[in-house]
Amino acid sequence: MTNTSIDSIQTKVVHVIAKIVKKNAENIVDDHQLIEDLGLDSLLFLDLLAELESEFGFELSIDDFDPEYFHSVRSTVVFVKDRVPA
Amino acid sequence: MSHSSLVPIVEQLKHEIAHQVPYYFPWKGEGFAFHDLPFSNKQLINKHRDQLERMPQGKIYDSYTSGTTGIPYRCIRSAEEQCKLSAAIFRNRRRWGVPLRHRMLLLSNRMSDEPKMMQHYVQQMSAQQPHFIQGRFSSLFQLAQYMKEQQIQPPPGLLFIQNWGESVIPSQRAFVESVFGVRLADYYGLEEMWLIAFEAPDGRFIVDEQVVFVEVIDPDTLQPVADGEYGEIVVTSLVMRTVPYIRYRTGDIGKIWRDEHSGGLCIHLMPMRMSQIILPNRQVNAAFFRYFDKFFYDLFQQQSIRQFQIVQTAYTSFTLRVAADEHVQLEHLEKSLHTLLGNFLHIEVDVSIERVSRILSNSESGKVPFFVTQVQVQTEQAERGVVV
Repeated sequence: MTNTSIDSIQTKVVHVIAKIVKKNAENIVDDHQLIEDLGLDSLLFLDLLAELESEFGFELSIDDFDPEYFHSVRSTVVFVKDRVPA
Repeated sequence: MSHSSLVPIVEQLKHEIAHQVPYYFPWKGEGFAFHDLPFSNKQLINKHRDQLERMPQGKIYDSYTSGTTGIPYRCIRSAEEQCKLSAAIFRNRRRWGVPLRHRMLLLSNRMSDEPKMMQHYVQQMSAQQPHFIQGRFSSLFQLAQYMKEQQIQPPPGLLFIQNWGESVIPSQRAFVESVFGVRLADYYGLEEMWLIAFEAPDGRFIVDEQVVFVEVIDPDTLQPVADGEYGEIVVTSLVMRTVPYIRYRTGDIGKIWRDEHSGGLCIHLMPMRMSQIILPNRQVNAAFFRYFDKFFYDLFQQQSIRQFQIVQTAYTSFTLRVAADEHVQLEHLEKSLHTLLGNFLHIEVDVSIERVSRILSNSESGKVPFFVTQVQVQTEQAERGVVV
């Protein structure tokens, strides 16, 4: 995966998160925790997964439904990068 | 997940709480293992909340339950715990094909069979086109009866219906499934920690070992029973930290066994709880429940029995309350129950039959329990938290 596509994934993930938690993407940083800092709740969590599926075109498996993967913005980006074809 | 893969997880949990939760500090030493931790229950947690509860920063969710135990209890969850528990339930529903953006119709816990209420839910079904319908089994049954009478078709996109909080009567299950045209998924959980087990589409009732660790103990000796033997279900939440539920006695009776092919932990629950037979100054032997299973099996075979409930009216008096057509013979059930109670409680008992048109749900929980007692537990036993 090129640096450009990695950056592109990062930007897209931040925008998806911003859309779900209704915050400005410019104010979201990698270290932000989705639940504690950005106010993600159990309903928004499913919306986030649906949006990521739709944006990146992958299908989540049963084992992916673990909020631990989506603890922070950084971990969410890593999760998506692992599932997007190189 | 296998039992051996869970051992490091519960040992890590033991290490964590023994160092972070004051109540468990005495078990800090390396010489203690998870199974050395004491059993807990609602009474113990209520009594030691100051040493057990760790309030998180940020949003908390709380709810109150007295459930079938009658003990008032405040359940608290952090936003993170709420999210993890919700995700676990969704993960199990996903196996039934539920999409991430789904629609659910939730039936009231206090469902009545008034036509207005039934019409309301039929309208909701039509308007919402739910992917699944969730409710007490008795509520699902009532709605199914109404739909059958009125010749109402289920929503075309319905994937399954989900029971919540009540025992399922097999003959009624078949009826409900035929009316809705989909399978019923059974669910077992507690308000304190939510999901324990969820029925898979292949019919196995599977413990979700990503969120709970389940043990089955003999309530007399507090020792684990062999796989496949009935005993009291004890659960440890792998998610909850705000209030840790460690070796938490549920009072529910059941058995667990590991499925050889999938490795999943299967569970079967008895339609009654440990606390539902009250005897003066002694406990009901756990082996008793194994024989009760046979009685319930025989009763479930009677397809014309709509509802039933065993009521302990005094220490030695029991009434089998039955909602069934008048032509249905019930004497053999009376005799069978008399023999069962007499033989395994080792006391002389009176058993009578009461025919009713309908058994009403519990006003607190909204459930229709199969076994209720009208005997007040002795104060001394209640104070000691003895589960009889």
